[in-house]
Amino acid sequence: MLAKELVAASTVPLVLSVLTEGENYGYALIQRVRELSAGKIEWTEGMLYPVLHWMEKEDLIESEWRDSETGRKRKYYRLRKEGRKALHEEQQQWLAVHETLAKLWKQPKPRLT
Amino acid sequence: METTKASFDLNHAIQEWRARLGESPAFRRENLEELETHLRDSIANLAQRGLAEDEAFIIATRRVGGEAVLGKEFAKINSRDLWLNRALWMLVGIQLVGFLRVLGSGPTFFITAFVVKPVMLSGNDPSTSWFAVFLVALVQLLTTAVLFTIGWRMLTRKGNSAYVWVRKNSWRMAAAISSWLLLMLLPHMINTTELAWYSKFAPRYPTAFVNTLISGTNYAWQVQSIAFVILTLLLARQQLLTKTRA
Repeated sequence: MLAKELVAASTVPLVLSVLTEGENYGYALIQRVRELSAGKIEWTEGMLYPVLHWMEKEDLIESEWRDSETGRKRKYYRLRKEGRKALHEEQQQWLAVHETLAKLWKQPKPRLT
Repeated sequence: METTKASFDLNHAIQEWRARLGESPAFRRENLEELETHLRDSIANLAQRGLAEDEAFIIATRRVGGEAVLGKEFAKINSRDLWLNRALWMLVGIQLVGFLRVLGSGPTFFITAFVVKPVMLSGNDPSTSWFAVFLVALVQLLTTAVLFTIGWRMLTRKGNSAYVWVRKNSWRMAAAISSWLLLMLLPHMINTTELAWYSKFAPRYPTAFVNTLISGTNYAWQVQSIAFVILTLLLARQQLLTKTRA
C-alpha cells in the first residue's frame, strides 16, 4: 500500500499514462493500475472520479458517455493534447526522483549490510 | 447465511446505496450514474470470481468508498452546485422564518385581545406596560421557535421524506414556484389597475397579497423572491442537463 500523499501525487500521472494506451472508463482504469502494480497501488475507487473530472476541467482529458456491452452507459475518457504535455512534464519529474533514489540505493552501504 | 442469500435483492441494494449518496448535494446525477456503473462492474467482476451477490456487493461498496469521504472530494469538484444549493436553502430558511412569524402572530393577536385589552381597559396604557409588551414578545418568540423547530426537523433530517422529495423534485419545484410568481405578478406588470380586473376574473386571486408583494415598501421580499426563482432555475437546469447527458 502506498502512503496517502504518494497516492494523491501519483494518481494524475498514472491516469494519463494508462490513457496513452487508448481511451478507457473508470473501472477499467483502476483494474489496469492494480494489475500493473501487482496490487501494490490500491485506490479508494470512488476517489478516482473527482480526479478525472478535475482533469477534464483542466483540459487534460475529455469524456463521452457511450453504450457498453452490459447495456448500461459508460463514461469513456480520452487523452488530449494538453494531457500529453502534462504527462511529459510529470515524466521528467518522476524520473528525476527515481534516478536519484536509484543511484543512492545502488551505493555500497556498509552500515546497512 | 442461506436466508440472507435467498432474500438479498441486488438491484434494491444498489438503489438504496445510490439514494444514500444522493442525499448529499455534492453529487450530480451524472456522478451517481458513473459511480453506479462502476459499482455494477465491480460486483460483476467479483461474482465471476465465485463470490455470492451479497458478499460482492459489500466488498464492492467498501472499495468504492464511504459517503463521507467521497462527498468531500466530489464537493470540491462540484463546488458551484453546492453553493447554489446552500444559497437556495438559506433563502428557503429566510422565507420559512418569515412565514412562521406570520403564523406565530396568531397567538399574539389572541394575547393582545384577551390580555392587553383588559390591561388597557383597566387604565394602563399598553404601550408603556412592560408586562404586555414582554408577554406579546415572549409568546411570539415561543411560537416562532416551536414552529421553526418543527419545520427545520422536517426539512433537514437525513433520509427524511420531505428533504429527499425536495432534492429529487427541485426542478418541478422551480417550475411551480416560478409559474406561481409569474401568475401573481403578471397582471401588475401589464397595468396596476388590471389587478382589480384580474381578481374579478379569478375570484380567489389574492389581490392584497400581491399588492404587498409589489408595493415598493417591501423590497427585501421582492429581491428574495427573484433570487429564489433564479437559484431554483439554475439548479433545475443543472439537474436537467446532467439527467439527459447521463
